[in-house]
Amino acid sequence: MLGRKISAVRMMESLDRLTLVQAAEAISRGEVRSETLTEQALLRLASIGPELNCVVAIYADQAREAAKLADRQRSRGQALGLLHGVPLAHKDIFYRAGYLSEGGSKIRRGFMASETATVLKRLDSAGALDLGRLQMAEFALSPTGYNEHNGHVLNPWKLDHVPGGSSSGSGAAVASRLVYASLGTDTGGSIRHPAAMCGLTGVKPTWSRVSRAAAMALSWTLDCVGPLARTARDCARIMRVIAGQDANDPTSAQGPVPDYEAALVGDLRGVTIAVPRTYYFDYVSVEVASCLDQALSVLRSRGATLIDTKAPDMTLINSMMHVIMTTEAATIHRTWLKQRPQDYAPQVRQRIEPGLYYPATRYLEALSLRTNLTKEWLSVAMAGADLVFLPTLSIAVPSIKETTTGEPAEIAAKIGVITHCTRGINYLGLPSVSVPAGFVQDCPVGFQLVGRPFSEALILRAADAFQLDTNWHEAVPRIAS
Amino acid sequence: MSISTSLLVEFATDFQFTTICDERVVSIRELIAQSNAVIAHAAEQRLVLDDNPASYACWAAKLAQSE
Repeated sequence: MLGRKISAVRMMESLDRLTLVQAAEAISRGEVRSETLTEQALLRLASIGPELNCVVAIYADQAREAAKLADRQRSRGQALGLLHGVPLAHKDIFYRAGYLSEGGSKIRRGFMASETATVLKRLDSAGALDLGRLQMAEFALSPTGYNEHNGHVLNPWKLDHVPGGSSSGSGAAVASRLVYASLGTDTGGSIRHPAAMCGLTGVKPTWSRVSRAAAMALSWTLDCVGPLARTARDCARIMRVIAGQDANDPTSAQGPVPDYEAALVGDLRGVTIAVPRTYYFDYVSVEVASCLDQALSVLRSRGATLIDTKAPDMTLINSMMHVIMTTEAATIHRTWLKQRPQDYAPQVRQRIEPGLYYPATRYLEALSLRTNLTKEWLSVAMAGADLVFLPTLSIAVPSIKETTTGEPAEIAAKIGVITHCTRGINYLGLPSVSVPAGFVQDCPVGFQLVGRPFSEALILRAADAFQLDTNWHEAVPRIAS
Repeated sequence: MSISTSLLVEFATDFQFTTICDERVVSIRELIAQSNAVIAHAAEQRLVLDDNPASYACWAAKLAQSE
């Protein structure tokens, strides 16, 4: 078994070490009270949260009331949801009626939502508790988690390093065991980066699988909502709750939602995994490559067949992603860009501005070619296999200093390396899970498993099978102890 | 492909009703021109009359049903 010797962690058997599924089952069996887990989470959010700068707001009174109610419902024998009484907190991008939702920005400071995001309603219906809002990159526009207005979220594994973004607070909070899971959003890697950099499992679903209604948009064509949690099984449970058609999101897919947990059968016999050796491995460091090779060995030992493939023209796919992301973001932000340009961090404003210059024909061409290019990617990179294995981040987790100092072009180049393996997947609309696979320079490493559209059950099955033979996902940073 | 800086500034100011400083326009000009050229070329080579900007969701759903 790999990963047993993790010097930086303590394996404590305590309530905050439970996975989300274990916590939900312990509550439903009456082995632990929701109030107990909630008090513990509130304490940790209030004590460790500020050390990592990962919390925006805590709803302590509401959470305590909800936990009491959850315990009463259980003791009365009422039917319980899949997440009954489990304390969660989410990226500050989802609206909840009557609560602030500020998107990590100065511009939306004080914005009070008048409606509730469908994903939050679905979590509420499943019995989950919402303990508060978590930090994020300004307007979800940084793969490092950069936030000039609210300060940087710190990586719980190495405090002077980035946690990954844009769902930076979600990554730091779940990794340091403040809550059992968190929803994030992913437009170019914003769930997968913090998952990889903080040692978590994170799912970017197929575009349209999960409703984006009443979640602040960055790019309608690319945005996806998904979970960051400790295990693939945890993600499977959340996906079952949040996925599915939504009348409030006309882009949401109509297909049935599978029982993702039922798909976690533990082996990969009959599953072929492609490894595109061009493009995606261009920047992979020797140390990261070693972790990825070990991960491939585990997948093979679980029954998967591995084949080498190559990537198609990724310059083309990345250009398509860029025109769509920037044009849609510039459309959303145009009024603020005009009226309040000084209220954006320059690094953030500069990522949106190119969208003001693309001709409409380029934008529509990029949309029109999406099917064609996705077919080609599946044909070349997947080449008849069932899944594609990619690094999530090619290099060791960078320090905050490395990603904030230097000329704008230098910083843009560093950001380009960070998103090298993730951003194209958003244009292709494919589902991807990032899975912890070791440590390099005391920070986590992750790999991605990418599937065909709506194959979330298969990517989760493979991630879960991998986690049966490894314990990287159980590692806990010292700050959480 | 070349787009002059002055044209870009004029475009952004007149059509987007927002102003970006000349220095910034210069710095992103190359990126815009590059992506523009890549996409335009791909469209010329690959786009057919029946391709539709909204076709992706339909194709992805059909693919999922067929498997």
